[in-house]
Amino acid sequence: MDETGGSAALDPLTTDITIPWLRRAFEDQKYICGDEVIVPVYLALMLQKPLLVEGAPGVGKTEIAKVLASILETDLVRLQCYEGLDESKALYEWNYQKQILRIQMAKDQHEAGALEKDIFSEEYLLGRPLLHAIRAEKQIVLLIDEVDRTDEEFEAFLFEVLSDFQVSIPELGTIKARHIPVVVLTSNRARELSDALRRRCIFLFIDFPSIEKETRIIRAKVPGVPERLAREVAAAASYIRAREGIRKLPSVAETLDWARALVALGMESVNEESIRYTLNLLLKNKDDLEALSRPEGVGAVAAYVREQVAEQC
Amino acid sequence: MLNDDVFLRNLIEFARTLRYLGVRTSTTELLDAVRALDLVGLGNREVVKVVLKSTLIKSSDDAPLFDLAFDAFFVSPDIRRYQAALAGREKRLKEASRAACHEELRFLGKPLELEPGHQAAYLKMDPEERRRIVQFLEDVSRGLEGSEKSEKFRPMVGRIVQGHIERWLNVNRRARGGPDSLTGEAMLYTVVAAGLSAGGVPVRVSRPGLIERDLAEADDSDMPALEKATSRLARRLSSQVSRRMKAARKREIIDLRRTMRANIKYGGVLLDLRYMSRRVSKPRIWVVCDVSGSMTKYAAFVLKFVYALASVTKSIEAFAFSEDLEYITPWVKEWVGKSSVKSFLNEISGKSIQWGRGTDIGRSLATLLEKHGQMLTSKVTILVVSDAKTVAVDRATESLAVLSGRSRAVIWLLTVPGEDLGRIPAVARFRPYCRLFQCYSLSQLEKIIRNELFG
Repeated sequence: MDETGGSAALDPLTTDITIPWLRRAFEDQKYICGDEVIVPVYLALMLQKPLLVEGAPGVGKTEIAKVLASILETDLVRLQCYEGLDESKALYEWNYQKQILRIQMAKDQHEAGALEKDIFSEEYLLGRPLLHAIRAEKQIVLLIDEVDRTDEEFEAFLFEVLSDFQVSIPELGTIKARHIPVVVLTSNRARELSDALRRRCIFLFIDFPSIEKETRIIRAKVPGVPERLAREVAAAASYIRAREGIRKLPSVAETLDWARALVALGMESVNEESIRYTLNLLLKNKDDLEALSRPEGVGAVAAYVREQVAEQC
Repeated sequence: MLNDDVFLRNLIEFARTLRYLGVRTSTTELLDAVRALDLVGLGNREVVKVVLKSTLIKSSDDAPLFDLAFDAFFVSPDIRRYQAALAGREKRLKEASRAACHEELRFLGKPLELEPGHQAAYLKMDPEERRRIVQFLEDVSRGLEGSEKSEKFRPMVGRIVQGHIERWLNVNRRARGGPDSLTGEAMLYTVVAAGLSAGGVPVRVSRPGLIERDLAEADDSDMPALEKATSRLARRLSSQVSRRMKAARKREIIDLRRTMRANIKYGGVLLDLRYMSRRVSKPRIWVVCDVSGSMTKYAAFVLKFVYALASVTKSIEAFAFSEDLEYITPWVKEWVGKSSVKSFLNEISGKSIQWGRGTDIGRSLATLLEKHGQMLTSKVTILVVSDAKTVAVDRATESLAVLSGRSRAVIWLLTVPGEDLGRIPAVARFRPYCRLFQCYSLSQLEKIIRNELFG
């Protein structure tokens, strides 16, 4: 990948993609979204730039990569980021145990130079997700999940890898990617990513969905849920997210769990009773649960839900 | 490539407008935008908006600003003329306010300068309240007439009047807002229109996004969102610092690759261990806040922010000052995390004897050294939150010099816009003894704390 992000030729995987095609494909995969998601995904594919997806936890950031892998009919390679992740866990590591054994076995042979070359060869190399992505035989989707959980040092390293899609292993030389992967990075904004990394990417921010959209998501993902119940669940979630003082906003994933629970319990509507019994599926913070579990909290949610559904009718 | 020269010119102008508003967008992003538009075409306005949003901005903080700027920029000439007229009207209103205040508020025969927000608020006060202020100014002027040093009292008199207006505002909150105060969307349209009507000449304007806004201009409706933003920024900084501290503890972790290399000569027996880097220590912070008049709001947000970083600091002490200094750590510890900034502003007027008085930085810092000097070590970083407008600048400079020598560093958060810095005599005098930073918004506060305390 050169400085402007272009390459010699588009990979066959992305040549025939159009925006309408992507819309249909995402819908077939039950990923409910509008052009605010489809267009950046399209641009990332066609311009061969990584896609940086930001948003609160549980809004569907990681799902985009999975959907892309499905619709492009290719493999998904996932690098789950965490605090303390470094090159050895992300790119490659030497098999130290095997190396020590080899050194022990060759103890009496006085060929230090040859031994050193031997223990730093392919046989002793443990490839991690980034190396798998670079060496893949076909174009794959590389998901770098929750990149904001890593530190700045790792981010700088990642920036290098994403710029050229090649890696230098001192003992083995430079390994270049045969096929530039489709790269999706996700971030929960736990920390600010560097400008250098952001500039390399097409940016997509996914906010919490509207009641309308969330209703469609629930209906697509929860089998057997009546439309009215789906709407009530979406309305309740929307109200709670807008409420002041809630520390951990319920995610779309939690809304879906809640809808599934209500269906499983045979509850036909979101009212004071059903909210009281199942609120812990939506709220995962003790203070939030206490605040909303009070009669005036539950009552307010139920009243809002009734109002929304009445408006729709 | 796009063949439409007119659109290309507009696109470049739009990118410049985003930069005027504080969005960092470079030529690389502009090139991406052009290539992207080449792919999708210009037929659908909403698609064009999404394309520009995903290529020109790289942070969700910029998204609301982008939306407003796009809607304001790519409009018909009629709407653009209306927006320019609106900007003109607001400017005329401000000038009229200033003229009216100059007419009434006079000290020693000359107009008393107040900040635009206070001018607007003064004009909304009851005639009786206004009459009291005018009477006060007349009485003070009469008392000082003929005295050689009478002009030196001007800053203090100004602060007393502003403090009085602030107290009135706190009591009569509905008086705030209206066509004189430009916040949110109204301000953005004005700013964008001003940028466009400036004929493309680069003019830096203040970005009106929430965390870029002057905290003194925040009214009650802004408070919840600002407090949320404060907590979010502090949490983010805290987790980043915490992560860095944990990574630094890798000093205890062996660097296996280097160790393997080093021990080949020992037949693989790990005699010579190699380690990763060293540990970072947590800072001790003293927050020394000016609580005279309008400074209180800044004090509240700075305290909230700093205390939210408690997990990555060794200790935090809080002090409030105006004419003198008092120790407020126990009360702040009780307030922070449980109550709102609004309650801070209400409570401090009752709890702190310093609130609302004039400013004597010299006496306050001298008291800090005298009463709390035994706690002060070279590991303490002092954060002063003040506009540096004080009487007795010489004494203030002396105290600051001593403080600077005995602490790790003094970081002065200057709560005034850049253009006003030159008018404050103390700024130049304080500069040798502390690191001065302009700080009137959450964004500036976060950046300064990140770079100066944890950088």
